[in-house]
Amino acid sequence: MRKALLLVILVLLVALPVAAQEELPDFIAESHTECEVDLTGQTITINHFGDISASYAFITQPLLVGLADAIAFYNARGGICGAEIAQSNRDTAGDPAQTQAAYDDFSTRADKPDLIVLYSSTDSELLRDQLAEDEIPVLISAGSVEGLYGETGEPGWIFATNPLYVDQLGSFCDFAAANPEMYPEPVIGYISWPGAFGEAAFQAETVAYCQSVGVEVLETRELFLPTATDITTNVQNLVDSGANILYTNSLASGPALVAKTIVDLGYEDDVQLAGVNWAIDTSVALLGQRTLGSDGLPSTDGLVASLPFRWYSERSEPGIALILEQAAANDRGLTLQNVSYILGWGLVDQYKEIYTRAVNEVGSLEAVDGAVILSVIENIDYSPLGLFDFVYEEGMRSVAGNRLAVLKYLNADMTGPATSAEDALLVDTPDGGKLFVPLLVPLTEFAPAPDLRPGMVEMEMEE
Amino acid sequence: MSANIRPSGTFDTTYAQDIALNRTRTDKLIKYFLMAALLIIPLLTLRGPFGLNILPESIVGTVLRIAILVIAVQGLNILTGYTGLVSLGHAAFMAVGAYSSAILVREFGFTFWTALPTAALITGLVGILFGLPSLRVKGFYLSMATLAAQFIIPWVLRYPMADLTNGSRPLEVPIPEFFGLGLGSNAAFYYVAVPLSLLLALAARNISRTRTGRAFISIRDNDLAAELLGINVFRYKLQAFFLSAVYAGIAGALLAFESNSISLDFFGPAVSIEMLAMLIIGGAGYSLGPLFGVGFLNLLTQSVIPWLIPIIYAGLPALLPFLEPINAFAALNPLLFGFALMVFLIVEPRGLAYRWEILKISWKIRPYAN
Repeated sequence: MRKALLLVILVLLVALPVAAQEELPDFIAESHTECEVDLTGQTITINHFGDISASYAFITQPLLVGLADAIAFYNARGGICGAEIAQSNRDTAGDPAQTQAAYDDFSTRADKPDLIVLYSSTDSELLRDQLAEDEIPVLISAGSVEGLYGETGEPGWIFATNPLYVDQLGSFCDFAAANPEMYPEPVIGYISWPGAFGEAAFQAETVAYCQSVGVEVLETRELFLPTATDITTNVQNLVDSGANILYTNSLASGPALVAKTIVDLGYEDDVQLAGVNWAIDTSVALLGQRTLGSDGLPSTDGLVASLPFRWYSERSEPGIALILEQAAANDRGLTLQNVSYILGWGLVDQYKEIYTRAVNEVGSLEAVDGAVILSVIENIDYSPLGLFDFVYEEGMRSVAGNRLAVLKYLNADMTGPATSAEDALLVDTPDGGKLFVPLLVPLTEFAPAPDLRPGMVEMEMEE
Repeated sequence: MSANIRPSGTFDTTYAQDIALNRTRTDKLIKYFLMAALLIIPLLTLRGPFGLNILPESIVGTVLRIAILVIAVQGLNILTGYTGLVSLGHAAFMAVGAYSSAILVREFGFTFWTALPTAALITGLVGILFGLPSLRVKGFYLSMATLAAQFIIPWVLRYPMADLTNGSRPLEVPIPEFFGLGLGSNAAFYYVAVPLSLLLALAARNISRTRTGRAFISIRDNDLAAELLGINVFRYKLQAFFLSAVYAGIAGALLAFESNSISLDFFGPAVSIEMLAMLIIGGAGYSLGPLFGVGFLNLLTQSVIPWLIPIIYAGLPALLPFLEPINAFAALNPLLFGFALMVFLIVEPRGLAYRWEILKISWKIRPYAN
C-alpha cells in the first residue's frame, strides 16, 4: 500500500510540471509554423534600446509592459519551440550619443544579437549604415524614408511594422479626396515636432501625391518642440494660409496640444485635426481631456489618423480579446493600454514566428545569425495575433496595410460614440477625477497605402 | 597644480622645474605607460588584427566617445576652469564644428583632414562672436549670454541653413579616409580621436604654462587686479572663448565623423549642462579634470545604471510594491546624475582631480599622510 502511494506521488511529481504548462490558444497555434527543432533549455532574448525616459516614454513604457506580459504568457506556454523568451532593455533618454553607446554595447557582445527592436526614427537614421555593416536586422515601429532606405533609396536592414509616414499622409489624402462631403476643399497644413520623426511625412513626393489626388498641402510647415506649451502662432499661421486640416506627425502631448490650440482659437468647426498612427493613441485621448470643446467633449474628439493595426475596441478579434484579458489579469490600467502595449504583444508573437522559421531553416539556434533572420523577414507572410499583416513586398521595408480611424469617446450606453458631454460615459479615476473613455472608430477598411518612397511617386501618378 | 600641494621641504630651484610637465621620472614613465596602454586597447579585442579576446569589444567605442567628450570638456576647462567664465552654450559650439565639417566634406569637396581644422577655426570665430558680451558682463549675466548661443546657433542651423544641414533631420556624414583606407569602424577612428585627444589635453595643459594661460588664471582669480597689472582682460577673455570653441569644434567634428550621422539632438542644452557638471565633478582648472569628469559620468550611465536595472527589476516589486519597475529607467539617470553632482558640490567642490592630487601627495609622504 505504502509502495503504491509512493508510486502515485512520484507519478504526480513528474506529471504536474508537464500539466502546468498551458496550451497556446488555437488561433495562435494555428497561425504559427510548426517547430522542427526542440530548443528546450535555451534562451531567445528580445534586445531593445530606445528612449524610455524622455519624450517617447508615453509609448515606450507601455511597450515594455506589453513585452513583459506577453513574454510571461508565451513562456508559460512553451516559449519559442521550448526556448525561454527573455528581454533586455536599455534606456537612451532620446540622446543620440547614448543610442550610439547602447548600439556599441549590443553589437559588440560575444553573443551579438540576431535581431534588435528599436522605436525611433532618429535611431533608425543614426544606425542604418552600422546595422547593415554589422548585419543585424531591426524591427521598428517607425517609418521614416531615410531610416529605412537612406539617402540612396537602398533597402536596409530595418523593417518597420507600420506603414511609412509618407505613405500614411498619402492614405489620409486619399481619404480626404474620397470624402468631399467631409472635406469640400481640403487644404492641409503640416504642424509637427522638429526632427527625424516629426518631419518624416512632409516630403516633396507626398506633397506631389496629395496635389495629384486633389488635396492641397501648404508649402510652409510649422514645427514646435515637444516641450512647447503654446503654439497659437503656429496654428494661426497655417489657418491664415488657408489650411482647414492640420496634419501632425507627433505623438502624446503633440497632437493633444494642437487639438487644444484649435479649441482655444475657436476653430473647432472649421479645422480638422489629423495625423500619423501615434496621434490616435490612448495617450493622446487622455491628454486631450485637459481641454474640452464647446460640446463638452475632449478637444481631441474627432481626430482622424492612421490605424494600421487592430484596436482594443475590436473585441471580436481573438488577438485583441486575448490582450484585453491579459491586461486585466495583470492589472494594467487604462494609461498602459495604448498602442505600444498591443505592439509589445505583437512583437513577441513575431519573434516566435521569425525564430521558429529561422531555426527550422538552419537546424539550431546557434546557427541563426542576422543574415538568416533577414532572409526570414524578407519572405515572411503572416499576421501576429491577427493585429496586422506582417509582410514585405519586394524591396519594401515597411508594411503596406493601412486604414483610417477617428478618435471618439464612448457614450453612456456604451453602444457607440458620445455626441456631447451629456451622453458621454465618465468613469471615476483613483484620484477622484472623471475620465472620458476613448473609442477608435475605423473609417476605412485595411488597404495598401500608396507607395510614396522617393522615386515611386511618378510611377504611381503615371499609373 | 600639484606644485601647490607638494610635501613640505620639496621645492623648485629653477623656473624650468617650476613649469615642468613631469616632475619625476616615475611620473613620466607612468604617463607613457598609460598612453601606450590606451593605444593598444583596440588590438586586444576580438575584432582587432590579432583576434585576441582580452578586452570586450565595446570598450573601444566607450573609450572613443570618452576621448571625444574629453576634448570638448577640455575646451570648457580653458574657459571656465582657467579663465573663470562659465559657459552654458558649449554644446552649441560643438554643433558648429560638427555641421561645418560635415558641410565642408559634403558640399565643398574637403577631406576629413582638411575639414577638421577648418571647422575648428570656424567654430573659434563663432566662439569669439559669442564672447563679445564678456566685454560688458560677467558672472551670472555672462552665463546667460552664452546660453543665448544654445538657442541662436541651433535655430540658425535648423532654419536659415536647412538646405545645407537638413534642418532638424539627421544629416549623413561621409566615412573619413586615410590614404584610401576607410575609418568607418570604431577601432580605426579610435586611432584618430584618441591621439588627438591626448595631444589636445597636452596643449591645454601647456596653455596654463604660457603667458596667455597665466593671464587667464589671473582673470579668473581677480579680473580687476589683472587689469591693474596691465593684462588686457577683454583680449584674453576673447582668446579664451576662441580656444574653448576651437576645442568644442574639433570635438563636434570628430563626433560627426564617428557616428556618420548628426542631428541637432546631439547638441541640446542638456548636453551643455552635462559638460559643465562633468567639469565640476572632474575638477575645474585641473588638466586632468575633464578626463575624470567625463570618465566618471560615462561609467555611471554606461555601466552602473545598466548594471543596476536588472537588480531593481528583480528587487523592487518585493521592496516597494507600489512602484512600477519600468519607471526605474526614467528615474535612475537623472536621479544618480543629480545626486553625484550634489555630492561633489558639497563634499568635494574642487573635484576628482583635486582628490587625485591629494592621493598622490599622500603616497609621496607616506607614512606621514593622515
